[in-house]
Amino acid sequence: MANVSWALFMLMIVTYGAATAAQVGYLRVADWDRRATAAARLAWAVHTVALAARWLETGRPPFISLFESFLFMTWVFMLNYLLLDFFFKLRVAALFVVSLTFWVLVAALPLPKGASGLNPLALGTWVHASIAFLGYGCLALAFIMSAMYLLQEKQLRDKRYVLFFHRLPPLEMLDGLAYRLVLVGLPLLTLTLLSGSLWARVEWGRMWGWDWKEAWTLLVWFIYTTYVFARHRLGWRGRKAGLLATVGFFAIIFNYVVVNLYLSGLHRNF
Amino acid sequence: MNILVVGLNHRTAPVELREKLAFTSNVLTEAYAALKARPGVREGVILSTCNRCEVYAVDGGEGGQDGIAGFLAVQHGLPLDRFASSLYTYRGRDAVAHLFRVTCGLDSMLLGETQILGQVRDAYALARECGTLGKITFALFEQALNVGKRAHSETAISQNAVSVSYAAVELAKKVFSSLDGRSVMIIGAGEMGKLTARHLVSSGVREVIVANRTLEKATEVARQFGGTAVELKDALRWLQVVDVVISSTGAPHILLRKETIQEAMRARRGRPLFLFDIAVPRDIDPAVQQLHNVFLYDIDDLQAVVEANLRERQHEARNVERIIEEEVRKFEAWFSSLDAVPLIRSLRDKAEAIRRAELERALARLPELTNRERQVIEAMTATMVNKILNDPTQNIKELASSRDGSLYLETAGRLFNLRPTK
Repeated sequence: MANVSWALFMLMIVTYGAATAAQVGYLRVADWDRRATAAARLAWAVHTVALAARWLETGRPPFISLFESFLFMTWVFMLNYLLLDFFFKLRVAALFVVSLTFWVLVAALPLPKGASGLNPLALGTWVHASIAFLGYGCLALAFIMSAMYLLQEKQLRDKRYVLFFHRLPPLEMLDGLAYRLVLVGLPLLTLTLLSGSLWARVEWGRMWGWDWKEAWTLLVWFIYTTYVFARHRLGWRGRKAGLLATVGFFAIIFNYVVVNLYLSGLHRNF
Repeated sequence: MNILVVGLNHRTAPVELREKLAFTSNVLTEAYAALKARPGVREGVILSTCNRCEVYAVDGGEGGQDGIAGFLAVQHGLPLDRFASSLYTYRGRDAVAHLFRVTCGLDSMLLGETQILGQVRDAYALARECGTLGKITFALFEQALNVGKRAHSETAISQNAVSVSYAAVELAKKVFSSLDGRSVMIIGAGEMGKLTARHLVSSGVREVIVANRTLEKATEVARQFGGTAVELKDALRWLQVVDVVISSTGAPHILLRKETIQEAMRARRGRPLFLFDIAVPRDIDPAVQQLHNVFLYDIDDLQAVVEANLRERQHEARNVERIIEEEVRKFEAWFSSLDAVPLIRSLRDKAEAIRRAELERALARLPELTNRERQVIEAMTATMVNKILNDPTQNIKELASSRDGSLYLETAGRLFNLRPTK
């Protein structure tokens, strides 16, 4: 990685670290709320610049290597969150979103940064990857909402109220937001599968080959389809739904890291 | 600072004494008239609530603490020795800090309560009406009200509920996005149940169902809320509909079993149900807690919430103290700059007198000057005086509000041989 984008990347990590600290501060001091929001927005702005610099430097969209894909996915994730915060004022969610982004970026540091076997400039790669990132961004946020739900529900149930209990939004709201995010994320995931297999037909001459990557993505799709179905038909709300969304998220993470790095022969990234 | 407060509160005096020394609203006007008539009291405000009776005064030196204590004794026809040991006195900076603490609810029985803010505002308004409010008490109380507002908006001192019924409302708000348009069922006609329901209604709950052993009693309670009265056996059906249940019957056994709630939950299709069991012995099977999307709280749970919230408020009180510290300093600065005003005025007067005298003398010796030339000379002298006095004026104002303010004022007066005119 060239020096400029590397420096920007480090700066971005630092601003995310500072933003995480500001969010923790907000838990204790109520009037830090603007400061915390500003810090999150600033971190995202630096993130945007870092991404753009990487694009200019390589002359191709910045989600080709596994490392870059994390860079891009967290960017989409933060964008989704900032929009959500803008409309619903979910300040406390920022603690989870910003710190998750921070740790994911730190963890992504040692990942391979070179390009993969895919043709980066091909239209199919573009479409497929963008849809996939948007979808995963939504589903990751749905996980955050569910995690906040589970955390707060446990506190309400155990009657032990710690730290940020007073700042958490109502359960019903978290549950509803998680559901709506899945409702957006699931169609995007479906499109990811469709565009992926269509593109596989063009590139490799086959639609579906039960590759590890394909199989796992299908499993993820199946989990979220069950989520929507169970909600509608079985009245699964609250904890059960939250647990399912959590399982789905960890399946995504597994799909992303383990499958990409060790199992899938032909995909090697997203 | 010659601000003084003499009074007693819930910490220093038992209720038997407080009620004897309280000023009811109908005698307050007379009391103010008597206060005004006292020699040595220039400005005064009487703050009388059920937890305190305090007189804030700016005294002219004479009377002071004993004067006010005597005033209280005379007003209530109570010998001073009966309550003298309960009285406290604060002067100057401490008196200001005390009023600020009172206004913020730090001195209240219920830490951080907001009612006191309104009571201070009322006391201030009445003093103004009765003509005992002066420049100093006006500024003092205006600032106290601002400090109170700041404390409530900038800290969480008044945020978390510290009564059982409010704690219940707060918990319900942790589950439901909004209480608007929700429904609540009260089982039994206990006072606490009704009180909680009333809080819920004022937070937006629309429908109230009242279930009771006798329909007659249920109808009576339902009328208070514009709600629906049902018999106890029909309450089970309503479990499928309502969002919050408050149970406070005198029944000696469990009223709502786990199976009953389980059945209701099946029909609710996962919609959360909030149960408050404030009866002793309890009305709802504690095992209900294990059910999905059911939240059960008994009286002890609510009490624990209240205690936790009180601890939270104690934590916040430290932040309020910081605000008070800052505001007291601000008030002190303003107060000491008051002394600078007369000094500056006499300095200006003296300079102006010299200027006029010298100008007249000079012009008398130069009769050949044209009008325009006279004007130029006059303007020049005025500008010189202003420019020379500009720095001393600013500095006197600033130094007067510093710690050694009076020393600086004294020095400035000596240097220019001034006697401040009040």
